[in-house]
Amino acid sequence: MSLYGKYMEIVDRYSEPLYWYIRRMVVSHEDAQDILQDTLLAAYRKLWQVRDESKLKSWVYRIATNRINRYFRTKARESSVEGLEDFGGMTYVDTSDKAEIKLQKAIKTLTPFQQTVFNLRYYDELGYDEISAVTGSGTGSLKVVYHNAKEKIIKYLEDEQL
Amino acid sequence: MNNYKKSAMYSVPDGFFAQVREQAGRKAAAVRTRRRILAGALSICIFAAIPAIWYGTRPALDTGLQQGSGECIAELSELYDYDVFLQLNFEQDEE
Repeated sequence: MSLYGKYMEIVDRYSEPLYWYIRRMVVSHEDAQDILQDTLLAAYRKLWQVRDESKLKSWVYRIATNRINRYFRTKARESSVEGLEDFGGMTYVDTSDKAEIKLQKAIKTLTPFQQTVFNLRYYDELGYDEISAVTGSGTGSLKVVYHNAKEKIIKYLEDEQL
Repeated sequence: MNNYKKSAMYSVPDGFFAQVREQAGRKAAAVRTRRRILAGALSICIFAAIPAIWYGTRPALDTGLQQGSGECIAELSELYDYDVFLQLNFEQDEE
């Protein structure tokens, strides 16, 4: 299969889960769209370097994660909890689901790295070995990060109910 | 296939992922075209450069070889007696 054909297969398979992963991190639909396109194009440019196709999924997630980190650095965390307070004005965000809003706000209290690990594990259902390939951290420390993130979310939700 | 959960509060415009696919394909095709043009230009440059380098360096190479062989004979003649050297050469020629 040609490189282009292989690339279009990646687009078909991963563009939707990648979009939701990026969207949960950056919240804004427009920013998520830009980062997704940037991620896909970077994947096409570097696709010839991929030897092991079994690691393709973690490889594209890694590219997306790097783009998200770059976004956070340049945008100085626009999608922090403070930014979410008024996301009623944002496009393609449904504010009627109060429980979901609370959960997303709880996730936004985490550090960017905790958010990455939590989202990849909880929403994208990646294994620790895959998350390790995405983030470059060891599986042992990732388990600790995920556990701490979960505890922090639970505490936030409990405090909110008071 | 992929396992992932969606966040209920986030949504996308209708036909968004079809648009993503179309846009991604178009951008990659543009990159592919640019790469092909660059590869074509590069191969033309290489094919043009090989004879130019060859014919450009050949006179210098010939001069270098001549100088090198001259220096070699001079060194040998210093090491050996010149007559012996000539005799050796002469014997070799006869063989």
